[in-house]
Amino acid sequence: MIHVTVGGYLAFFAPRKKSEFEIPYVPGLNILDLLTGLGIPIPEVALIVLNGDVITDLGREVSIGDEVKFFSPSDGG
Amino acid sequence: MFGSSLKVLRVNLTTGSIATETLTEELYRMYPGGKALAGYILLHELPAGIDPLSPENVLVCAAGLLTGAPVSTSTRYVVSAKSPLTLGFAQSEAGGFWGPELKMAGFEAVVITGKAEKPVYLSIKDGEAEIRSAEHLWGKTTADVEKMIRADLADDKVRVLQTGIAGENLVRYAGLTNDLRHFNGRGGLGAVFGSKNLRAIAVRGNGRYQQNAADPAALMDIGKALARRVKESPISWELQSHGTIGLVAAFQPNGMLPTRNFQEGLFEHWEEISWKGYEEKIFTHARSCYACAVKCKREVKVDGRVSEYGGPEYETVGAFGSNCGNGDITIVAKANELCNVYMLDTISCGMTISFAMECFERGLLTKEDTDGYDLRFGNTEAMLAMIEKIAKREGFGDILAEGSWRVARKIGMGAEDYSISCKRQELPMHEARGKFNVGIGYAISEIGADHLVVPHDGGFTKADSYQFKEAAKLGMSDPQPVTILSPEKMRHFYLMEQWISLENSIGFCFFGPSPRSYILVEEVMGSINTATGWNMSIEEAMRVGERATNMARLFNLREGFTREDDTLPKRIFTALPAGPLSETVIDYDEFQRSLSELYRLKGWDTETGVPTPLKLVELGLEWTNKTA
Repeated sequence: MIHVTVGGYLAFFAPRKKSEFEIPYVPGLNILDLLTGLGIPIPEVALIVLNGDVITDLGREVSIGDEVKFFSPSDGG
Repeated sequence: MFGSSLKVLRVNLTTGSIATETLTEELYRMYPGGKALAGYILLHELPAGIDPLSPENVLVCAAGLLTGAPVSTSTRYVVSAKSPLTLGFAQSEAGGFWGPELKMAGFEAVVITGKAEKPVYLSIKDGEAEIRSAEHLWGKTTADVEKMIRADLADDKVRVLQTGIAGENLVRYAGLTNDLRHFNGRGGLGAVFGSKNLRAIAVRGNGRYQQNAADPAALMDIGKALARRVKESPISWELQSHGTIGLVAAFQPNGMLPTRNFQEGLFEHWEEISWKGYEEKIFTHARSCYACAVKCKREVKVDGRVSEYGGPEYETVGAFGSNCGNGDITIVAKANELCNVYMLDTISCGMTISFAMECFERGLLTKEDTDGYDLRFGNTEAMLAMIEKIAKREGFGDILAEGSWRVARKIGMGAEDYSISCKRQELPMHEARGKFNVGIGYAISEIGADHLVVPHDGGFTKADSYQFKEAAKLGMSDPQPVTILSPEKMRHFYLMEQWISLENSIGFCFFGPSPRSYILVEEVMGSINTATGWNMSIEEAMRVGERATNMARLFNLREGFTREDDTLPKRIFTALPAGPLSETVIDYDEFQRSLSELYRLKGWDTETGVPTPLKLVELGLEWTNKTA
């Protein structure tokens, strides 16, 4: 399984609008696949964190047990 | 005129005189309330160089053109004066219910001069006003004062705007509250109230905005559409679901959660103070401002009971959480409540305490200085004790009540480097090293470091994003990364600053209009024009915002501010020690070049930052050459 966190307003697009959930691992799955599969608009993603590291490569593949976080832009308030 | 009574209530507390002035529609169209109207009044009536805690200070409480309209987030009013903290232009916005009630009572603004001989409060009702004794209110908590005023006036629907004990004691960052949970926090306006022996302004109005709208049906249609759309738009949905607390979880992985007086950007106990911890331990329900469907406010439990002061927003979570080394969200809620009981700005209070904590850990302060408290990061007992001492100006609190910038100069020995402030006002909880235009904004803002008058970089990095597409309607082009400075980045700043300044003039909350939130540009313009019958263009609206910012700039220039004051604390020009931003630096020389470019875009002298005569003519501000 892949543990996914969606932060900021990206949770709006997540299954049942949950901020944290798990999805089954599929060989060859990459970050872009994750976002597309979840229906999260790519232009709204400001930050991607994979196992605690900030990444920018949408082609990066994930592995079983990975923790992936997506965040929208963090504005004032 | 539609959309405004054009009436300004004028109160002289020295003489006790009360009068009503009527503006012209022509004037109001240029200065349609809030920041714009306040700047106009202050430049005309407040002489330069006065002591902000003297009777000579002029206090303006101004609703905006749309305050009280049946449109979500159009709830804001501005309080303005010369700031006792920055010694420059003070402007603090708040939502809640007081601003709409003022409009319903038939006034656009209240202008207060002089000083009452003894404590008083002002009572306004449906076009009339009276000054009433507040001797029985002085020294009481904000909750008690609200109850007592409602009992005095035999009306539990009265809306009360008040300072607290901190304002009575002239704490330089004392704030104001209405309905106990909406705040004009920044700039020390609570101390201005206190210096005038003014404890509160109570308002009751029976008018309704729609009764004076040019096209009430069309305005209501906009309002209904926006109310329906809150749950359908991601940004407003997020604000309703989590308030602003979601920012903790967003900032931590990027290494930009202010930690231990901005020394670090990663906090080991971040999860405890994130929305997860907030929801588990303190959150009870969401709450709204007047006629607003966004419902971003949080209500919480403190010490096991529902607090009557509302819950902490992100700024308070940062200021009394990570920035003071505290990972206990229940203590953050307690600190928030204490600040609201006494009416202290949570940002400046938290940051002044974190400054003192750093000084203590570096050996610049000892227990002898701090009334015996081991004032280290993470010592929550000491942190909470300091809040009360500051409000009452007791012991070390009397020193901290002056704000970190002044205390730093009193301590010396390099303490100046640990006051993280711009123009003497402490930074809010947005790390400029991770958002470079926020840094520019902190530096150039006329009111000192403030996160609600500046554009936040993150929304303008991708041409296909919602925020960028909305900003394109205002003239933005060419997306830019977050952590760079460039001429195009300055253009982003120039455009967005005007739009935000417009919002702060016409009464929209930061959480309403796009690009920041969900009300489209054309819906903002539609609200203005259906309320007034005007045919205002986006261009004219942007000029309103730009005019307001230029007036605030001129105010500060009169007070002796120069380009040298448009800068950041030394710490913000150095990289964070760890995390993704550890190799990112705001380069000082590039910062100066960017500042000059921004001055150029604004039509200011590129060396001095003084608005040129041509810019003043363009904005209709030629009269500023002849002001007080």
